Amino acid sequence: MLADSNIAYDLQLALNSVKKTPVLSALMVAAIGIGIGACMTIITIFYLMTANPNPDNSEEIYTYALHNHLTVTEGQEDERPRLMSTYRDALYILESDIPTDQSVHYQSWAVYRNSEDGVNPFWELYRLVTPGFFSLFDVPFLYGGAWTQEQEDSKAMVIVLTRETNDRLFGGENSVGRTIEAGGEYYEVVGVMDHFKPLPKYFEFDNGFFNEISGALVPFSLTPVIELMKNSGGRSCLEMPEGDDFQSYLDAECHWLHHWVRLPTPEKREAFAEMLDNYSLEQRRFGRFQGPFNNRLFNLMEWLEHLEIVDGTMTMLIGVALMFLIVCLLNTNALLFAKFTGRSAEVGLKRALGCSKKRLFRQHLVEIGLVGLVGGALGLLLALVGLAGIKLLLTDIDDLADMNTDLVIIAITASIISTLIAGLYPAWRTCQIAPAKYLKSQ
Amino acid sequence: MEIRPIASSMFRNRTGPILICLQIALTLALVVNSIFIIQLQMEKISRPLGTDVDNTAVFNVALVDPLEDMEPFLKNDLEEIRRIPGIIDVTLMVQPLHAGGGMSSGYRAVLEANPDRVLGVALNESDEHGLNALGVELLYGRNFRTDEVRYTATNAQVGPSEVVLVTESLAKNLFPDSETADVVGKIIYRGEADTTPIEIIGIMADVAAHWVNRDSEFARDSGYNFILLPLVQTFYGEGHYYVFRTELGAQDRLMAAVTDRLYEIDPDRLFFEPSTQAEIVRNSQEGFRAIATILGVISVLMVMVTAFGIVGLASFTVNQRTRQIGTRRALGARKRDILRYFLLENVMLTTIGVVLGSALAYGIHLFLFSIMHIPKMSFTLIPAGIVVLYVLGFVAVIGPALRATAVAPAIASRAV
Repeated sequence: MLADSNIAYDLQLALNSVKKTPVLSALMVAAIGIGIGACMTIITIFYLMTANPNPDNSEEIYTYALHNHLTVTEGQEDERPRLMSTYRDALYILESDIPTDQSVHYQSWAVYRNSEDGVNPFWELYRLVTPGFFSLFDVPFLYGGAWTQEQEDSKAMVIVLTRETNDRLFGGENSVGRTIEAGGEYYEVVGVMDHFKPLPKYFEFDNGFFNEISGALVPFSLTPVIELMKNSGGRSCLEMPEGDDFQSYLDAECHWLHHWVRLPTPEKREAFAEMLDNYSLEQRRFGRFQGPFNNRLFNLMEWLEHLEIVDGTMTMLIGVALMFLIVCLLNTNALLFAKFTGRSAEVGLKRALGCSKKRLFRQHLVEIGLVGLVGGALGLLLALVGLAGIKLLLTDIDDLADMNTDLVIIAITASIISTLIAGLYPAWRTCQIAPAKYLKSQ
Repeated sequence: MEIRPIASSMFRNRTGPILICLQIALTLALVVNSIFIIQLQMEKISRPLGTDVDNTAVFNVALVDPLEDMEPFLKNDLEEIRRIPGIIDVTLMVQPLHAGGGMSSGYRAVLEANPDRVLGVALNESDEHGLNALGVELLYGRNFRTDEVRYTATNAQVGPSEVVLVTESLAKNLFPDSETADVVGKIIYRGEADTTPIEIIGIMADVAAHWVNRDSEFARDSGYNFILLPLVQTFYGEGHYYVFRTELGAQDRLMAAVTDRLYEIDPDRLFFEPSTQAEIVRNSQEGFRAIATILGVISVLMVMVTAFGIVGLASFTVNQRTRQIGTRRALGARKRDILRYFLLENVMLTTIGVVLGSALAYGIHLFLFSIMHIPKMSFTLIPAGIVVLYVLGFVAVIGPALRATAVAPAIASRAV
């Protein structure tokens, strides 16, 4: 016989066997489906939480943490450095020519309007960023592009809109060259971003890691001009500002800026780390940082690890899901055992009639694979239900909980492989049957 | 008893029973730990918050064109809202309460700089209507006077206030040796080294800090360390939070009435997500509910799958032993002997499973203890889980076992 028709025959036998024991087969498929479904739900979340959100640049871009405590507390010398920068430290480092590119950024809120087109004013996030933001984080543009370093340096009143804001203000038209009002100031639109939703949103830790950035972006150098204080996400002050004015706030020991740099070579990285340490020492002489200098430099993936987006709770959920899958497989294993043992007489007869062990083994594997395939398909459906459920439970994880084709393939493969593993031993055992014994008992 | 023959039969066909035992063990271990974590989440959610959550609403409002001096405008808004019948009181806060995050600072009860004496305290700011609008009782001392409330138009950080209201718990934590009532009039200081004296003018009933739901020891010790400052920030930041308390059952109607009134005063406004305090609380506790729900669903599914396994294995054994059962019946075994045989077999399987499972449950607990901030588990959960698994085993096996009793003795003499 041809190999193809062998497989077809095996499949036919497998279907017959499933039909003969519908309850047992249904229980097996259900167990695998439920196990894979639960596992895939959790793994999808985990996979997207731990994905590299900027693979092209992740080896080159770094964020730093200066150990800039103003006092040294006994027993707390190993305290962690601050993860955000003060305005004056950021400005100093921005001057450095070691990084080939830098992004300093923070966000606030502003009222946007485009009175010409009769759009109702609305309230949205508003970011102040250096032009490095667009290149470091690989921001895609729909129209136009980022402002130039010259525009940054000259405090030009220019703005880049997110796609959503451009839709709201200009109905999605190319608005480059138009003027809008945001936060009481007038800006010329130089670019419109396309959807930009790195997952997780790694370059800040202000309001969730899983949302698309919204609003619009203007040059960071405008900070002292428009006097817009950080108003979304954390800021903390080691010392109160001395006066009530904005400059006092900028001068104060307040941590509120995110700062990323591009260091394309190990030498640059070295040099930058050294620069941070020297800066700290120098500041100590001015009576600022009291050290010890646990200055840190994180590349993207180190940074994500440091943020602990995957925390103990997530680890626990993954553990639970995996153990649950094991329970489901044990269950399948037990049921397959039961099923195959029940077939001893038939197997004995086939062996006596000259069917090889190999042939029988393959026939069993096909049957197991079939159960795995159907179980995997069911698992996939259940995972979609599970993800929909998680979206309901966690509103801010909305963007995260989407399956992609990778995960579909993983689910089906995992299901078939794990079922085969669960079924291998029962199938092998069944094929070891000595024909004589079972023929005798007939 | 039939333990010996059952055991020897199990030993001969050992793989199936071993697998079911393992499955029972894992199920016990996971379900016990899941229920423990679920209990923790529910306990966290149920910690009292101290304000009248169900009757308070929070409106985040801003003007499209902010005024140079917002103070008279804001005061007028509040006055107008207060005039609406059914509104108990309204105040302006710097941020909503119980939102899962917020301002905090350190305070100490001694003048000299001493980092060890600094307590973590959650802060909020309101005018003199704060207590009434939140539904928080003043236990000792007095409320803010109108002239003590500062309106600040700078968008700088909040400096120290000269007078504050503290919660009862904070009063005890700051001055453990004093009677709570005597804490009124005491002086505290901000941060590690600031020396501006701050007077405690009143003690209010406990209000939860925004970290009250967390697991850490800090959250347990400082969950009600809360200070109210007599401050209204009028600058144009995130807009302003109007917080108002309504009479019982009138919230929906009054939220609409307040919206209408505010639009009447000035239509050129933006409203961001007007919401009830209860919604804010629900959102901030979403994560805890999610963990509890996910673990709950997985536990139920796992119990179901294990029941499937027991049913499957038992049905199979019954089928396989049809002749044997028939023979036993022909030799004089009664139906209930057959029933007892299968039930006993299941009890033996479950027993091995739960013994293994108890050890595993403890091991998993130790692991979770090392990766999460959780307390040690009370071990009453394990016996409870064991009981559940025995019941489950019984329910799962009873069907196949009853079918076994229906096997006619004559079957023994018939060829298969």
